[in-house]
Order: sequence, then C-alpha cells, then structure tokens
Amino acid sequence: MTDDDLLLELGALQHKRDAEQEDWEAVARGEVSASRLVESSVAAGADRARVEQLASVLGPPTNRERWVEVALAATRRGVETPKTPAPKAHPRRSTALWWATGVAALAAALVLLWMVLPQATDDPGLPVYTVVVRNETVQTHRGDASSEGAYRANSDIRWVVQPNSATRLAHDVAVLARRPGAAPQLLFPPHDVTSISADGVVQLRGRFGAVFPLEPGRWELQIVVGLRRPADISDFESGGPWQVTAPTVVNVLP
Amino acid sequence: MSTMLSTAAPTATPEGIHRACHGDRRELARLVELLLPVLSVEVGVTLQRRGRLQSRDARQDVDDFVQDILVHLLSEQGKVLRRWDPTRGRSLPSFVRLIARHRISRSLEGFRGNPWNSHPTNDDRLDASDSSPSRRIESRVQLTTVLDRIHSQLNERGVRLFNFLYVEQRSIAEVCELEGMSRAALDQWNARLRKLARRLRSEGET
Repeated sequence: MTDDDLLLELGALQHKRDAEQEDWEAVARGEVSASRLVESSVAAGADRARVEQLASVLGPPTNRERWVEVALAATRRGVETPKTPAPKAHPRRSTALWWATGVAALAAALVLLWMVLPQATDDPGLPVYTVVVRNETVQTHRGDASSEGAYRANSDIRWVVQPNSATRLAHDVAVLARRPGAAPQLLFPPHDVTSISADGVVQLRGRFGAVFPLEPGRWELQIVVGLRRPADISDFESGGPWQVTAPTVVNVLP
Repeated sequence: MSTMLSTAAPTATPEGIHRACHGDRRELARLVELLLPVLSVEVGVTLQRRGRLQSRDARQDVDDFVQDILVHLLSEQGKVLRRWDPTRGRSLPSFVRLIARHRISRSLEGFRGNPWNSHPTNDDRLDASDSSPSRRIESRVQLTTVLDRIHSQLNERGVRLFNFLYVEQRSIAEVCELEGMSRAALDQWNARLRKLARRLRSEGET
C-alpha cells in the first residue's frame, strides 16, 4: 500500500466514523430516541452491546444549568487580573506565636519543594502541581533535619499542592500511597481536611492520621489532582483527567 | 454506515458566539445546547473505541472530558471558539468536533497504556488488499490505531488539513485558499503527514 493509499484509507475510515456520529448527535440533542438508533444500528450489523453502551452515555444532558455555569466560568477564565495562586493565610495567630518563641522549631521549619515529574500530558487544561510541605515533622521537633518527614498519627500537617498556573479544573483530590512489597493504595482525604481554592490550590491540613490513614512504615505519597478522583487503583492506572505530583517520602511512626 | 435518522443540527453565528462569550447568558445557554451533543458524542465514541468506557460511571468519564474541552473552547471569552469563521469551509459543529478530536486524542495518548493494545472494534469494516479474514482484521486494527495516533500527533491545524484533504477530499487549491497557505507549504505539510502515517503504521506492525 502506498503512502497516499494509506492516507486515503484513513480518510475513508474517518468519513465513516463521522457519518455514524451524526446520528448519535441527534440522540444527544434529544431529536431521536436512543432505542430507535440502537435497533436500526443492530439491524445494520452493529454489535448490540457496544451500541447499547454508547446509548447509555450519549443521551441529552440532564443538568443544563450546570453546564451553563461551567461555560460562564470558562469565559471568565484568564480574563481577571492574574494573581499568584496562594492559599489563604491561616487566621489564627497562636501558631505563629508558638513558632516565634520556639527558636529551634522556627529554624527547623521545613519547606520542601519537589519538582514534578512529567507523568501527565502537557495538556494546558490541567497545570503541573508541586507539593510544598509547610508543617513541622517529628524530626524537626528534635532539630534533626532530614529529607524525609517523620510523622505520627496525631502530627499536625499542612501540605500545599500548588499549580504552576491558576486553574478552575481542580475539583477533587486523591492520594496514591506506595510502599515496598505491598500493593499501592488510593486514599481519599475527607472533605474537612481538604480545601481547593478558586485558582486550583489544594491544601491538606489536619492530623496526619486523618489525612493519610497509613500503617507505620516508609511510604511514598503522590497527590492526584484533577477534574475527578480515580475510583480505584485500576481506574488510576488506566489514566484520567488528573495530574500527579512526584513522590513525597514519609516515615509513619507507631 | 449512517442510518440517516438525523435532522440538521442547530447553528450559531459569529455575532451570537461573541455575545455568548461576553456575558449574554441566554446566548451562552443556546451555544451550550449546540456544543454539548457534538462534544459528548466525539468524547463518547472515542473513549469507547479506546476501551475507556469500562468504569462504573462511564457517563461521568464522558462529562469530565467534555468539560475539559468546553473550558478550552470558552476560556478568555471564547478565544478558541471565536476563531471559527463560517466562510472558511467548515460549520461550527465540524470546527468544534475537530478541536475536540485533537484534544482528546492528545489526552489519551499522554496517559499510560500502549495504544497498540487497544481493543479492535468490529464496526470498522474496510476491505484490505489481502483477502484472508485474519489479514482483514489485522488491517482494520492497524488502520484504526494509526488514525487515532495521527490525531494525537497533529496540531489543531493539522487535524483540519487532514480532514479537508483526506476525509472531505477537497482539492489542494481549495484547501490552500481556505487555510491561507501556499501550495508549497501544503505540499511540505503533506510530505510530513505521509512520513508520519508510514512511521505509525510500521510501529503497529512491529
């Protein structure tokens, strides 16, 4: 087959796909019933299971108002004065006072910046995320700086997961936890320890055990941020509309 | 194989799109009504073809990708969508469909998984030059996968050019005029496309 023949075959294949899609668009507009198209497609030789699967996901939208809101927010995106995405400063002063009086604790406050590996696409819809650890760990309390944080279940944590550009597409968060010799786990931090700002900055704040309910040991944690969270490990490994940070290593103490 | 059940899709005008993207909520609702079926079908059929409609909430998967593309089209007061020019040979649904095709192909290509492991569809019935059933099935799978990968490798303009030249089979002169390209530039692009298609096909054969 020559190159031109190949391209013409590919064009014919796409033409065929486009013709079928026009009928499904009529279903999606509500002009034609899905069941009618299913039956006519099966009569023409299509696989019933596949056609029925499409029919189950291509009906008219059920929540038009939500889509209009999404569209309205989208038109405003990038129009307001850009500002550096940052979480709100914590309103309570007692934490700052505690740090100010504890010299060793203040000096040992860890700010760990992890460069994100290019695990996902350069899709401009989902920016690259970086984890910034803004809490103290057990080691910093002891004045022993190390590249790995050690935590107990009752350790207070504050992790900021920061996008490199403002985004309105960060809707949900999950955490991938790995350790040697064990299957990876997906954690779903509860809503009371998770916040996502209007610009897509994620903050995980609370007791370590509430945010990351993990058994003692050395773990690698990766924050998954995107349009939705993966349902399970299999869903995560299939890929989806999310970005994944580089691993952050933690030692969970008994 | 079209079952010819559909009627003509609703249309929009550049002026209506401009109003929709600048705060006219009624126009925006009308625009959303027009765009959603095009986007959801392009996303749905692509995800199914790539074996990605297996999760418990397939409708949510479709909606997530549709939202991503809608935001891409409408951000910055519709910067991408307002590039549509009805005098350039393409209806609004067709314009949006190609953008969606490009974007979702890039997204799926960028995630994990070998595209050559995608499940073959049995609704792409093309006759290959070799008449044996196994070669026909292999050819269908190869063509399906090459086509999907081409969409992920081309930029938005490339997807339009491929569509003009090989799907709609418009003349070189017409495409040059529609895209504002010289004959030499289009020939060069075509040469690169041939090379790409050849490479993708060889990768599928190895």
